[in-house]
Amino acid sequence: MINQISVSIVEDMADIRQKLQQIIEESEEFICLSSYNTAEKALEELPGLNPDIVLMDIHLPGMSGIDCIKEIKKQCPQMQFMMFTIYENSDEVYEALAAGASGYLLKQTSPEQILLALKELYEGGSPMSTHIARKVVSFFQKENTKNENSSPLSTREKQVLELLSKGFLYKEISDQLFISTGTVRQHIHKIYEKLQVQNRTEAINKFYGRR
Amino acid sequence: MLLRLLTLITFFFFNLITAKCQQASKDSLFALIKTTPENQLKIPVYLEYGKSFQSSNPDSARVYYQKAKALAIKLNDQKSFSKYISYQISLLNQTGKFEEGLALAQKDLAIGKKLNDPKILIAGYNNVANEYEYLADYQQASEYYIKSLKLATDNRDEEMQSRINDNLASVFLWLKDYPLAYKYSTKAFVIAEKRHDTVTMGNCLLNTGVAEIHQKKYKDALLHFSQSEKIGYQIPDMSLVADALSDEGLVYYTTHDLKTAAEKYQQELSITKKYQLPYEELYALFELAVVEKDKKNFLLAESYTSRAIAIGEDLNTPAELMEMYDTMSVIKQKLGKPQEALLFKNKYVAINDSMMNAQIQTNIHHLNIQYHSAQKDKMIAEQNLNIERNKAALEKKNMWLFIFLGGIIALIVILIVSIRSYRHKHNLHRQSLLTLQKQHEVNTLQEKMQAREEERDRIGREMHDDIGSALTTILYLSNDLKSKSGQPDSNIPDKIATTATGVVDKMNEIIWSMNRQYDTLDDLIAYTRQHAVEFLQDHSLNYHFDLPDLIPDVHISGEQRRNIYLVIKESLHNIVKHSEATEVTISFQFEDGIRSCIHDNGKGFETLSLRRFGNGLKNMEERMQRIGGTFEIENTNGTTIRLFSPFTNEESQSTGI
Repeated sequence: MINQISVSIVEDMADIRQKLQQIIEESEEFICLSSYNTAEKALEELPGLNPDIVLMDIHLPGMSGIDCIKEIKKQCPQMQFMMFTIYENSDEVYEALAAGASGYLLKQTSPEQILLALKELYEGGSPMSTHIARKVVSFFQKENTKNENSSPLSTREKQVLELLSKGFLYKEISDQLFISTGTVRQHIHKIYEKLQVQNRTEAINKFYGRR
Repeated sequence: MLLRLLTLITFFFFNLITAKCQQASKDSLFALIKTTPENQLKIPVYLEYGKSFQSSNPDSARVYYQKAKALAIKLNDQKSFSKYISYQISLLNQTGKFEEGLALAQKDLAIGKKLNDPKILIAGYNNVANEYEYLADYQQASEYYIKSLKLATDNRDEEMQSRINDNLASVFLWLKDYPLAYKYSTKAFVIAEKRHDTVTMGNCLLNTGVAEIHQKKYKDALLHFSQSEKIGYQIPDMSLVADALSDEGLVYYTTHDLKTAAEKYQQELSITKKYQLPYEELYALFELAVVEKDKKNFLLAESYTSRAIAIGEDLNTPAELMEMYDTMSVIKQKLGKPQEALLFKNKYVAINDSMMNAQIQTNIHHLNIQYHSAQKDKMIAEQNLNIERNKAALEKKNMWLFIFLGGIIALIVILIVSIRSYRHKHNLHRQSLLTLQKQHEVNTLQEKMQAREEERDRIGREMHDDIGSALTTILYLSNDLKSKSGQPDSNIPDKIATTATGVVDKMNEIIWSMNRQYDTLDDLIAYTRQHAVEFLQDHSLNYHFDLPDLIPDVHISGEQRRNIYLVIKESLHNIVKHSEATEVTISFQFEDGIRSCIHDNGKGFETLSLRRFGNGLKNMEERMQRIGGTFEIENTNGTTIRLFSPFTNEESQSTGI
């Protein structure tokens, strides 16, 4: 078999979980490793299983998806997380991204789109809504004022980020910057990584600060 | 004027009654006393009734005089009081109580001065003078008589004029100025005769006669004396009769007709005894003594003299006693009683000295009094002056002090008051400002809260409308799928999916509009652009976004964001649904607010078709109005929609996300 992208699902709503599993199973490119209905179970097994992507619902009974990501990322930093969320504009999406997720999927997305997004994530591209872009921008602005170091973002990343924050679509950005939309997404991916790093650093600093 | 009239009337009645009383007999007077009420008019009744007793029963006279006095005091009738004094003085004079008489007379004078009543003043001066005369102070007597006479002349009081003239005549007799005495007495008589004033006439005649005796006009003197005697019987005034007889005797004595002289004196004596006139009796006796002495009937003379001395000592008449002591000592000598003679001589000397002393003393006393009173006056005046000066100085000082203090106090008070009032005002002002500010803040907050609540309510309503309708749609669609009748619509699953997706999108919108962190113009534009472009791209429309290079960093409310976004969204949906356009331009301007223009190159709208999506347009208009803005739509080579929503004051504050 060709290298299939392994996916694990963490979703408490049975119908949706089963449907997701079905979608992934029906795709030849993907394979569903496991599915859980709680974060705790996922936390137990995922580090051992080490899937390529974890499709995780933000709202889970017990431990939230965000906390779960934080925990697993400590053990498996390279594990990719795709947040599964109903609402794009909720703050939780940003939080998840800042915590370690690399992308998000709206639950209303069609099955084909879901697979596309998963593939894109695997290839290093991330989606970013205008909103998330704006939040990221403001985060990095705050960071800039704190450190006198120059922004960790590259020029391109800054450009992409700015256009995204203004409501430009990927296509528009790619047209403007003369890059492909794939490249746009990859830039976004990088931005998330840097965001997470910054976030973690901040958390550590805070943590250290408490000591 | 009225007062004068009243006094005249009262006096008229008073005199009338007095006259009547004088005419009336004792019995009728008594009857009057019984009948007359205790008013002013009873006083003369009392006085006249009392006078009727004056000769016979002085005590009774005094009683009625006192009654008159009491009534006058009770009625506070000074005039009547003055009348009483006149009567009382005559009584006192009769009993030789000249000192008392003088005191009383001076009281009368005081009343006259107080009331400034000429009648009383005249009588007062006259009475005082009279007493001084009895007291042998002829200088004072004459002074007062002259004062009285002057007033009487000024007031044309003829009665008093005649009496005073007569009194002056008797004073001059004492002063042994016989021509003057004659002058005044005859003058008085003329006036008295004119007035038929028999009493005064009688007295004048006596004085005239005495003057004439000394002028050796014996026949005239006798004539006048007998005239006076007759008048005395007429009035009746027995003392006048006695006096007249005494004077007649004097004439005969002077003309050495001792026998007739003695007869006259005997007559006098009997009258004085009968009518109880001790003073006159004294004279009668002494005159008889002198006659008998001259007749060398020393024993008889001795007897008469001793009787006279007895009365004199009883009445305490020093002048008469002096002469009598002297005569007695001579008689005693003649009788061969040298010790008794010496005794009486000593008595004489004693009285003489005392009289002289008295005189001198009186004079000295007078002078003393005058001097002292003058001194006192001077001292008092000086003291007063000093006091006044000091007072003035002190007052001045005090005044300045007060002014100064007052000024300072006033300044302080003004200062305090003004500071207070300023502070108060300031406080009030500040407070009112604060209050206003707070009020304003509260109001604004309240407005805000209310607006937010209203917005939430609206969102809630829209939400449950949308969700409700979507779910119902899904329900129906799934029912359709379930239905066994006929072929199910193959589009149903898509339709269900679309419906469900729509609801989720709606939720997203709501989340976005309610999240306050997105309350910026930047965010609105970004969000709008994202969705608008996506939508237009999905529907294969060419689009053009026109934004100014710089988007102002302005804070706008969630309500504003939502409504503007929804209106634009609705407009785009309309374009897609109805306009058959191929290109859409969305432009923004942010000078005074959010201005947006959506233009499509479609077929425009007809007024008819407006009704079809009438609600939608109305809805959009309402949305814009809710945020204080405007919505316009027009046909311009297609359709142009213009939106405007102004920035509010708060929105001018720049915020950073």
